[in-house]
Parts: sequence; C-alpha cells; structure tokens
Amino acid sequence: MQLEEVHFNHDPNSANHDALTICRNAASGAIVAPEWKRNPVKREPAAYARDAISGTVTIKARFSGGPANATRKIRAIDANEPAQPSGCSGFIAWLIQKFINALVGTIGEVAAKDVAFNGAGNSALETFTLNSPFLTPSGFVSKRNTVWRWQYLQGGSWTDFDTSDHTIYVVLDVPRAPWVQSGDVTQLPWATALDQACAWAVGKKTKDDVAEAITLGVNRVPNVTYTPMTMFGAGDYQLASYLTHLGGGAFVMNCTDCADAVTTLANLLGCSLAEGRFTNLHTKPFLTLSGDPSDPAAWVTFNWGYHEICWFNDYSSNTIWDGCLQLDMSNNPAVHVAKLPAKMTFDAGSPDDYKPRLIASGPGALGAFVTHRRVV
Amino acid sequence: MRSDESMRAIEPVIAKPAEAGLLVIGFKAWAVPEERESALAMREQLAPNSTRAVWDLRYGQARVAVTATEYTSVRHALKSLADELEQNQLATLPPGPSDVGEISFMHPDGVPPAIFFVRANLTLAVFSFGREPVDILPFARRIDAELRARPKEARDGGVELTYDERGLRASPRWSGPDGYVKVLAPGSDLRKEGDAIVGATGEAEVFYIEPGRETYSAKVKR
Repeated sequence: MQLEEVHFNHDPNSANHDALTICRNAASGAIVAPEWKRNPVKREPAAYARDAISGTVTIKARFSGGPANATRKIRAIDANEPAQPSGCSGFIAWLIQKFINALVGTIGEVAAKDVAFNGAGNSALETFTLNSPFLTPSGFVSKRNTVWRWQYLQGGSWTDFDTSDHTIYVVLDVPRAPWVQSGDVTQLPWATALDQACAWAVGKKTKDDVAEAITLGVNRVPNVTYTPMTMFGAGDYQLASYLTHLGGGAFVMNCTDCADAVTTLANLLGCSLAEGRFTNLHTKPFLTLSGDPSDPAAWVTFNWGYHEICWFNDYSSNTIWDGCLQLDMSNNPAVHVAKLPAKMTFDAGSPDDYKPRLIASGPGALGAFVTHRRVV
Repeated sequence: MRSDESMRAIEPVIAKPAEAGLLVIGFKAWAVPEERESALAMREQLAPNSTRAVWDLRYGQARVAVTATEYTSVRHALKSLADELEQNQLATLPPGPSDVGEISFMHPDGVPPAIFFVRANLTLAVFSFGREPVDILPFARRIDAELRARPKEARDGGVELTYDERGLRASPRWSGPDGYVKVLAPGSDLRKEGDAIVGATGEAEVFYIEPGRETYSAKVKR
C-alpha cells in the first residue's frame, strides 16, 4: 500500500479549515493541490493562517495498493519524534531534539480513519483531520519540516507503509496587502518570502511581536548599510531582488526599502502595517542601519527631504515601526542609548515619542501615505 | 530630493537643442567597462527597461553597483532623472562634475558615495554598494566615456538598416542577451518611437556592441 497524494489547500476559497493559497514566487503561479504527489513527483509547500482557522483542520489524501474491496484504518504520525533516550547524554540530546521539533518540526498528526478501497486497491480522495497544536491560539510563526509516517491498523497494531515530507508555514493570520488570496497570482504569498519572514519571526505568537521581530530583522542584517537612495523600487517593491541580496554580499538600502521590507514581510505573517512619509527634517543623531551602538561613527545625522516608516493601519493609529534606524533615547549627548522603534508612539506630546526623538528641526509634516507597494 | 528642485537644474539642459546624436537601445548595466581587479557579482533585470549590476572590488568588502534605465530620448531621460531623485531621502543633492553626463547629481561628503546622471537616453547611477566607501567617480567617468565613444574597432556588416517614413530601423543579424545597439548621428536629436529610430539627419552610424565579442557596424546617409 502506498500514499499517492496529499492535499493541504483543498478549498482555495477559504483558509478556515485548510491551507492558504500561496505560490513559490511571482513567476510560479498559484500552488494547486495536491501539494504532495508520488507520480509524477510533486513537492510544494503549504501555509496555514492560525487565526483564520475555525473548527477542524482537514487534509485530503489518496492511496493505492490497498486491500481489494476492503477497508483499512489509516493514520499518519510524526516521523521526527525522537526515540526514547538512554543515559544522561541521551536524555539531553532527546530534550534538544524535542525543542527543535516543537519549534520547526512536524506540524501535527493525521487522525486515524477508515479508508475504503475498490477492487483495484485504490482509495478515493479521503478527508482526514489534522490535529495540530500549532494551528490553535497557542500556535506561533514557524516553517515546519513535517515528516509523516503513514500507518495502517492490522491485528491491533499499527504498521508503517509509507512516509511523506512537507514544508508547512504557520503564519498568524491571513496575509494582508500587498498580499492577496485571489486575483493577481503574482501577489499570492510567496514561499521565498515566507522563508525569510518565518526565519526572522519564528516562535512569535502575537502580531506585535511579529512586527517587532521583522523590524529587528530588517535593521540588523549584517551585510547591509544605509544609503539615502531607494534601491528596491519606489513604484513596485523589488522584493525578489531584496531577498536575493539578503543571501549575497554587502548591499545598501534606504528608509523606503526598509519600510517596504517591514510592511511586506510583517503583513505576510498577518500584521496590518502600511507605509507613510513625513517630510523636511534635520535629524538628531541616530544609530544608522545595522550600526554598532558602541561605534561613535555609527551615530549619524541627516538633512532629509522625507523619511518613510511603517504605521499600524494608517496615520490615525499614531503607532509606528522603523527598521531603518535606532533612536537615541539618552538626554546626555555624550552617551547614546539605542532603541529600535517598534510599536512606538509617533507623536503624542511626550519627549520620548518617536518624532521628538528623531527630529532636531524642521516640520516633519506628514506627507503622502503609500499604504503598500506591489511586490515584484 | 524634490523633483521641482532637481528640475530647476535639469530644465535648462532640456531646453538646450539636443544634438548629441547618441541613442542607446537594449543597454544593460553589466555592459559597462569593468573596474580593474573586480568581479561581476550580480546582474538584475529590475524592470523591462532597467537593470542593475554589482561588482566586488578586490579590497575588503568594497562593492560598486550600477543601475541603467533606458528611455525613449535624452529629454525623457532628463525628466525621469528628476522623478528618480524624488526617491532620494536627502533634501538636496549637489551637482556632480560637469564632465559626467548631460547633467549629474551626487551624494555630498559624509554620505555613502553615489552619482546620478543622464547620458543619451539613459539614466545611470553608480553607488558605493558595500561597507567600505568606494570613490565612484572614476567608475562613472569610464561608463560615460564608453557610452559617448565611437567604438575603435568595428566590422562592417552584421547590422541591417532600413529606412522608411517612420524612421530608421536597426536589426543586428544575431544578438546575445548582453548586446546593445548604439546609434551615432552627430547633430541629430535622436529618439525611439516604437522600434524606429527617429530624428537622424545626415549620416548615422549604428553599432551592435556585445561585451567580449566583436563589434559590428553599419552606416546610412539620409
């Protein structure tokens, strides 16, 4: 007996009880179930939106080589589960493996059900319940290397008959703009972007924590430095290019690039950020992009025509994230105290708000609201 | 930099008679003359008319990036430069050296070096792209000189030229992904209209240039 195919996004119109609609990248087109197929071989990732799920999560699977005109109880269990330890070092290794599995291992187990086989030993496409603690409110952002051992019940014991492996992303909510779930397939969530976003926000359970983790990730890329010119597009956002540069040598980016990266990747995980600009400002000293706070040369000032940052929903929230810089929260010019602006009040009259901490002079008037840029 | 500010410097250049007689078609950023002891690290097609190339220089973490965006005419490129500079956070950009481009702007001292300029129907930008600041001016000057220059050696043929009422058409008999066409027609105000080259008066020379390969040329007189 063998597994023939597995469907995660079996209802493309909903993410309530199955996976989201995603693509590999802008050029790939939508990933259509089955995401796993034996012949011809097909291995595509799937993604779930934790907060969109209501009720039972299901997958669908089909089998061949079963007993003719008979029924078998089938299930799938976690093949990543480490074996029982022996000895002290074995116990420590087991603990580490358990921790890694909890963070990035198999998403859950496929509940047992009776599957009927026809005279040729083939099953229909059967619906199974996916039991996953990661798709409940306690779930968190992760890219899960899921490996299942498929078993059937015979004589009161479970017998392995096949294995399957799946890349499954867990995000907190249905991705927000610029990402879509229908329409322009180039704007479906990209697996290549999910790889990066999940790496930066792995383990995060709340949208605020996700937005902060993405902001930090963008700000602390070790091979990036600041330049005032937009490098990744002001019309469309050159996300594919940014992701390529992240994996390559040194590069430069400006505030628009940082705001695009934070908004796009945070919203991919279910946040609700958008981009807005304020104009004409002389800055106070701030810690430049990926700068070392202990390096005096990394504390810089600029005369900017504009600065672009991320806002929760829009200007009315007065709440911002800025991946391009870190503010100096010290009132002593001889001492710098760096703070990454994440879920910070833009300006509500406190000297420790974002605006008074950044702007030395100039109006810093709110300008055009960009919302989101299309990803290319 | 606000476009109304950059346009104050650009408009007089647009107003001048455009007689440079140079048009470039299909140019890629990685077709520029290479920096010595450098290695091309990345080539990107950013948009149908826009490319970026990145070079690793021999020392430390120094890198240089060039972006090239092609427009239909020098006037179109000049106007577009103002739009492109709107995406620069700096409130003002000082002018670059007068020997680079039709016009150029550059980052001031203390800011990661970059220069933005127009040559023919191209907007070009050269950036210090790594952790170590690089003097990008020599690089920009070489690019500009290369674009302006008539190729020293070119084999006659290999480029088919046809004239009709819409203008001149240049078709290389074969072309690689990195090749481009350069049209030289001194005294002419050249521009692209669809696949036609318009505005050539007198003699026009057309070159098909592909880095690392022989250059081909053809000549036509109106």
